[in-house]
Parts: sequence; structure tokens; C-alpha cells
Amino acid sequence: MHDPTTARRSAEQTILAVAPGRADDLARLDVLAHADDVPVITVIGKYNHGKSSLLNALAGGDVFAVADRRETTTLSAHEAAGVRWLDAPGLDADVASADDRAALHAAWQAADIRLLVHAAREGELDAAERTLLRQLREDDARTRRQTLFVLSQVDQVGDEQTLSRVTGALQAQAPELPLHSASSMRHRKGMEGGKSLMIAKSGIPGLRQALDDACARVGDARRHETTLRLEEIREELEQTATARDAALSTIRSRQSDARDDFLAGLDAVLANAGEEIHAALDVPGTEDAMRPDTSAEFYLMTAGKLERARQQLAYAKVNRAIAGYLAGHGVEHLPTRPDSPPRSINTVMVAVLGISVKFRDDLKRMFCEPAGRARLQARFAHYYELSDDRVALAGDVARARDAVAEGAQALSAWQTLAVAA
Amino acid sequence: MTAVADPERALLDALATPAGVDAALDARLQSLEAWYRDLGDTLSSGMPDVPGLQPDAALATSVRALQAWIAQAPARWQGQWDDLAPARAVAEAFDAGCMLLVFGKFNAGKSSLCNFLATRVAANGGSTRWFHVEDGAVFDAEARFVEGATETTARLQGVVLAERLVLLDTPGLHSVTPENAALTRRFTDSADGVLWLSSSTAPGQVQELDDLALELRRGKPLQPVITRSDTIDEDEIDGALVRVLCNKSDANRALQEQDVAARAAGRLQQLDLDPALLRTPVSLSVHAARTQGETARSRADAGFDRLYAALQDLAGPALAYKGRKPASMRLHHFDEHVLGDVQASLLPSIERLSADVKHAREALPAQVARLRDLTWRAVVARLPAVLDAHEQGREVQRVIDAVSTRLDAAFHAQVLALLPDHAMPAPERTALTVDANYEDISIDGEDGSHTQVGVDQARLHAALEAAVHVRIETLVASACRGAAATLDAMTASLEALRVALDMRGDRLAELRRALR
Repeated sequence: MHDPTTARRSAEQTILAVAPGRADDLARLDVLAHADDVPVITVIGKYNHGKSSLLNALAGGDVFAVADRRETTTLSAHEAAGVRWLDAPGLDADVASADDRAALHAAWQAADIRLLVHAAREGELDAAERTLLRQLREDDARTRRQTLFVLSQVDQVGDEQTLSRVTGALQAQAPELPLHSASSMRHRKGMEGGKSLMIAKSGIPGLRQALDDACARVGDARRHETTLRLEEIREELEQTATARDAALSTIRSRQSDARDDFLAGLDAVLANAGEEIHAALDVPGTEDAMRPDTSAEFYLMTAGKLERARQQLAYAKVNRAIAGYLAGHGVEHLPTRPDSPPRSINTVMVAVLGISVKFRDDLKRMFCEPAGRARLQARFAHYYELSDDRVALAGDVARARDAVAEGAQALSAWQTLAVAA
Repeated sequence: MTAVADPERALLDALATPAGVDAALDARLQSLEAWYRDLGDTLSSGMPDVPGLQPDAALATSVRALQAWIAQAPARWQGQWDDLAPARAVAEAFDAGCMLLVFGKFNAGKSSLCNFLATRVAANGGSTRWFHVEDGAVFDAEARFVEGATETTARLQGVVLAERLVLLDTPGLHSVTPENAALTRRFTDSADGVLWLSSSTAPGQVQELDDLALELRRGKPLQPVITRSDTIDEDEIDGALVRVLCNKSDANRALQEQDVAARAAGRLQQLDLDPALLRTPVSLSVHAARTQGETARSRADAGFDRLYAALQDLAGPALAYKGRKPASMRLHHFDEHVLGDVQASLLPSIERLSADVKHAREALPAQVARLRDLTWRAVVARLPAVLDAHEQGREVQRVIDAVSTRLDAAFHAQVLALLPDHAMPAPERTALTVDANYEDISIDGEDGSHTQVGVDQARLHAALEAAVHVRIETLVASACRGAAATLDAMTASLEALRVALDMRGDRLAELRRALR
């Protein structure tokens, strides 16, 4: 993690987990973070519209391969005259669309300045080109990157009248963008033969000037773009974090409200139980129930027998009340088959109350004293949290908590990127 | 120069061969109509109502949407057939000849090529007849096509050459106005073959191949033509630009043709189309042929001899296709509008609904288990209180009545909450049978006295619990059976419809094979 690149990748992954739609922003921020001061200029347009030869004319040399068909199929870069020129494949040629992906990477992630290249012979922009133009203009407005509209191969149009009809139609399609007419062929011939008219009519010097002006704005634009993308990501992360906090607190209150309700109800049930037991025990004198019957008394009704019977009845009743309450809250399960007696699986009742015979003191301690009732309350609450519904809810809470943690991690990962910028 | 050696004459001679006649046409048409009737029967009985669902349930809404689609489809399909009337009118108006659609992006040089070919036919003594199509009727036009560097062709127009070869020039494919593109599509079916024109500036763009997929699926031969295969050579002489138009070199043309052929073949493969329909691309320059002397030599240099040979090859299959045209047009309508509609929209709806039903069916056991648990909880929690309430009077029947009422209410509420999509018949009112009573506990004294200790509810409570349990199991099992039956019946209907539609699709594929 000490390696800054590794740390950056890890931060990006952490952010993407929360804001998956920000992949493009992060990729561009990565480019910006590693950029030197050299502006990057790329070309975008249909294949064979003369993009590579245009770059050759602008960069001043036979840097990029040229042919009268789809030629450029990968990205290649060349630095000259204070600019990194990036040649990109043409659009709509490759059956597998790999060219298009490389070209779009160049235009949307690698470049500060995009030259939208359209061959003069093709006349108007087609639907795909118009969509691309609109997207580039929207991106220019958002990120302050720059798009220049270049009408290439103007030497290949038959006559001036046709050319002016084409430029008129294109200006109508892109009224807000100046149209740069260019012919790299004229420029090449002019340079080779020292022919000034051809150089002047090539449009290349004018385009170079426009690019110089654009390059001068790249520094400010990059700062704006970095801040903009970082801020947009931060806003999204904060919104997500807020929403996740709210979701966690909602589900937590649902969890604790249900528990409060359960405990309040149980409190009432146990208080009733205390009264029932108290009434059954409220016989003055000694604990007759504790005194074993003598053999002489075996068939006789004794005070002890009477009291034991009364206690037994009260305890059984209290048991049913508690068991009913627990069943109503899903703590005790319905047996799978009606022929298995429900009572036999009252495992929570058995676990809490035991199966031993309860004597007067036991009952008094368990139900009539606050400490005893509190102990029962705590024991039942323990089993309440083990019931299926509660366990499922606890799982939901844990997931909501993890989501909150993920959101917080993304925000701290964002700090890593912001500090690096 | 002899007539045999002249490629222009050779093309006109080839076109003079009469179009083929299809003796089995009536039988083919009858088979197609029978197919359409069968499809109608399949559909109209395909998706029955589902009485077991609540009307506002999502599944019921989907069923009604399917039924509505099925009810509305025939009228929609008839409308689309009627929309094709102009295309059929065009086809009938030029019954005797071979009709080629001149297909391509605006500014691909379609009009220039048609005009040039017309000039050449006239030069060989052939007739030329210009026309345009409006509202399904063919009107003679006086002038040649307008040529321009921006989009100019707004309507369907054509030229009949030597009364045999019809070139149908259509508004552009990637037209700036969507209406033009739509118009093009409406008429493509009346053509026997396709000339696919694209400019040498960026020939054979992948997106254009996609637009041609429909024609190729119709089994029509496709001839790529790379137009504007010329270049302007400029120089500066004595302070002025001097411009010369030249054909692109043979090597350059071969490079572009190979590139287009390779990428076109790749795309056809991707689109699962028959690569045999694709002909070898031809490069040409109308501009060079016109401006460089208008000689046989200049035309050959500009690429026209190769185009003439290609057209001659194209005319054979195109004329063979012609005799089957009425059946083909009906087949294409069934293929693209009817079966295509069924496959693109009805079958996915059926799949989606089937998946929803399957999902509901899989969720049912858990819902039913929950129904059982929650009903149980609601009843059993109340038993002690009910028993206490009637202990004084030992009113067992009132206890049973109260618990039964409670059970029915709880079950009803839980069915609404857990199985809201299902319309279930209300179960009979619960009347629990309980063979137990409140028991008075007393202890007998030696003297024969009885001492009252209290009332024991234990047996009555246990008996009630058991009876409640049995009753809940009965209610829940019945609800589960009902819901499962509803969903299973839907699955069976949907599957039967899908299978029947697949069979109709297979049958149309058989008819298609027989026709080609």
C-alpha cells in the first residue's frame, strides 16, 4: 500500500463500490493526476477521413501511418512542438468495434483537446456524427476541455461552389462551433515544393494558431476539470452516505421498537403472573405445602395437599400465559405436525423455568419479587433475540451497518485522491 | 469494336431475357394464407383468463396486456400490409423488368450514377423513362435526378432503362430527416436486388451494413459499389492552384475493395446472414468517366466495365426472384411484421410473464409457511385471555366461538397480506370441535367433604391448541393448493402458447425455404 499507484487503484475500487457510475470520472482523474504539463490533442471521426495525415501536418513530420482505407487501429502518441499528439482509430470501420473503443478512450479520457474531423466530400454530418458532436459540446461545457471542428480534405471537393455549400450545411448543423477547413495534402505539397499559396490554402497554419490558443487554456481547464470531477464524486458519495445512515437508523429503530414492545408486553404478563402466584400463596401460616404428608395422612385431605394443588394450578396457568405470549411473538414455534403435541416443544419455557417442581419459596422468588421477574425478563429476552424473525432482522441491521461502513470508507478513499490532486 | 466485346451492349442483351414465371405461385400463396389463419387461431385461444388472481395483481395485469396485444395485433398487421400497397404498386408497374434498389447514405453518389447509366443506355439507342412515386402511384418525370453534395433526394424516384432495368433511387439511409429513411424502407421490398453505394472517402461503414441486414435476410443479392473513386491532384503553378481530377489507382481501388469485402463479410457473419449474397465490390468514378473524354476507354478506366459485368451477373438471380415476387412480398410481410412482431414483442412478454409466474411459484412455500406461523401466533397468544374470560360461567362453547372467530379473522388478514395477488374463495367458517372442559379441582376429605381448590384450564387449553393447529393446517393447505393451481395453470397456458408459436415459426421457415 506504500506504492502510490497501488494506493490509488485501491482508493478507486473503494469509491467505485459505492458510486459505480463514476468509472469514467475516475479514469480521467487518474490521467490528470499523472499528467505532465504537455497538452494532449487527439482526433476523432470516421475512418479514412484523413485524421492521421492531419496530425502529421500539425505535428510536422511523417509520424503516423497513412493509407486510403482504415489504417489506424490502435492508439499511438508522439510528442512534438510542446504537444502530445495522439492518433486514434476511426469510427464505424471495425466489425468488432475495438477501434471505436480505443478512439473513445482517446477522446474522453486521454485528451485535453479533441479535433472532430469530417471529410469535406462527405457533405453533411450523419446521425452518428451529430450525436458525437453534441456529446463533445456538452463535455466541453462541463469540463472546459475543448473541441475543434475540422473539415478535412477540402482539396478533394470538385469546386468552390460545392465546398461553400458543404461548409454552409455544416455550419447550420454546428452553429456554435467555428469550422476549420484544412487540407493536409496541400500543406505537404506546399512544404515540399516551397509553395506558399498551397500552404496558405491548406488551413494548417490557421488551425495551428487555434490549437496554440487552445493549448494556452489547458492548464486552467485541467484544474477546473479536476476540481469539478472530484466535487461531483464527493457529492455523490456524501449523498449515498447520508442515505445509508438514514437506512441504518430506520432499521435500527424498527429493531429496538419491536424489542421495547416485546419487553413491555412481557413485563405486563409477568406482573399478572406475580399477582396470580401471590394470590395462590397468600395463605397465612407456615408453608404447609412443604410439609410432607405422613403415612397416616396419605389418603386424607391436608392443608398441605390443598395448598400444593392451589400452587400447581396457579403455576400452570402462569405458564400458559407466558407460553402464549412467547408464541404470539414467534419465540416459540408451531410444531410442524398437529399430532406432535405443541407443549412438548416449549423449549424456551423449559430452558428458562426448568422442569423441577416449584415450591412456595421458588414461586415467590421467581414471580413475586422484582429481582426474580427481572431475571425471567432477561432470560426470555435472550431467547427472543434468538427467534427466526429477530435473527433475520439482525442480519438486515448488520448489512445496513456494512453499507454505512462502505460509504465511510469511500469518503476516506476520496480524501486520498483529493490530497493527491 | 464488335457487339460482343462491348460491355454496355452485353448488359442490355442480358436484360432482354424475359422474367421467369412461377407455376406454383397460387399454391405458395395459399400455403402462406393458411399459415396466417393458423397463427390467428393459435393466438386467439392462447391466453385464457386467470380467475384465481386478483384483478389488480401484477400477474393479472400482465395477462390482460398479453390478451390486449393479441386482440390488437391483427389490425396492426393489416395496417402494415396496407402501408406496403405503394411498394406493391411499384413492383406491379414494372413487372417486366429487373428492379435494383440503389441504396446508400445520402451523398453516396446515387443520383449521379443513375443519371450516368441513363446517359449510356440512351447513347446505345435504348429508351429512358424517368419517374417518381407518390401515394402509391407512378408518375412520369421529365428531368434527370438532381445531383448535389448535400442531401437533395427527398422522394422515391427512378429510371427505367431500355424498358428492362429499373433503378430505384431512394432517399438516404442515414438521412438527416427520419421520414426519408422510413420512406426508403417502405419501398425496399419492391426491388429485386440491391446496389449498395458508399463513397470512397469512407467506404463500407459498419453501421450501413446493419441497415442492409433486412434486405439480405430477404435473400436479395447485394452488390457493393465504391463511388467517387477519384482524387483531385493539385499543384501551385505561377501563383495559382491547378487542379486535375484522376481515377484512384488500380492498386488503391483493390485495397479499398478488399477492405470493404472483408469487413462486409465479417459483419454478415456477425449478423448471421448468408455471405453468398455478397458480390465482389466494384470501384468507379462517374466524375472521371464524364470528364475524361466520354470514351469507352474513359469509362473502362473509371471502373464501368466492371460495373456492367457485375450488373449482368446480378440480373440473372434478380429476374429469377421476380416470378415469385407476390408470394415473397407476402412472406416478407409475415416474416418481418407478423412473426417478427410476435418474436420481438409477444414472445419476450410471454417469457417475462413465465419468469414472473415461476418466481411467484417458488416464493409460494415460504409465503404459505409464513401464513401458517402468523395465523398461529395471532390465535395462540389470545387463548389464555379467552379462557379466563369465560371461566366464571364455564362457557366452553363461547370460548370455542371466540377462538374460531379469531382464527378466521387472523387467517383472512394474513392471506390478504401474504398472498395479495390471489383471489381465493372464502373458506367455510371455522367451527372447532373440542372435547374438553373447564375442570373443577377439589380435594376429597376423609369425611366425604369436597374442598374446592380452583378451576383447571389445562385440558381445555391443550385441546383448543390442538384443534386450532389442525384447522390452520387445513386452511393453509387449501390456500396453498389453490394458489399453486392458479400459478401452475398459468405456466401450462404460457408454455403451450410458446410451443405453438415456435411451431408456427418453424412452419414459416419451411415455407421460406420452399420459396427460395
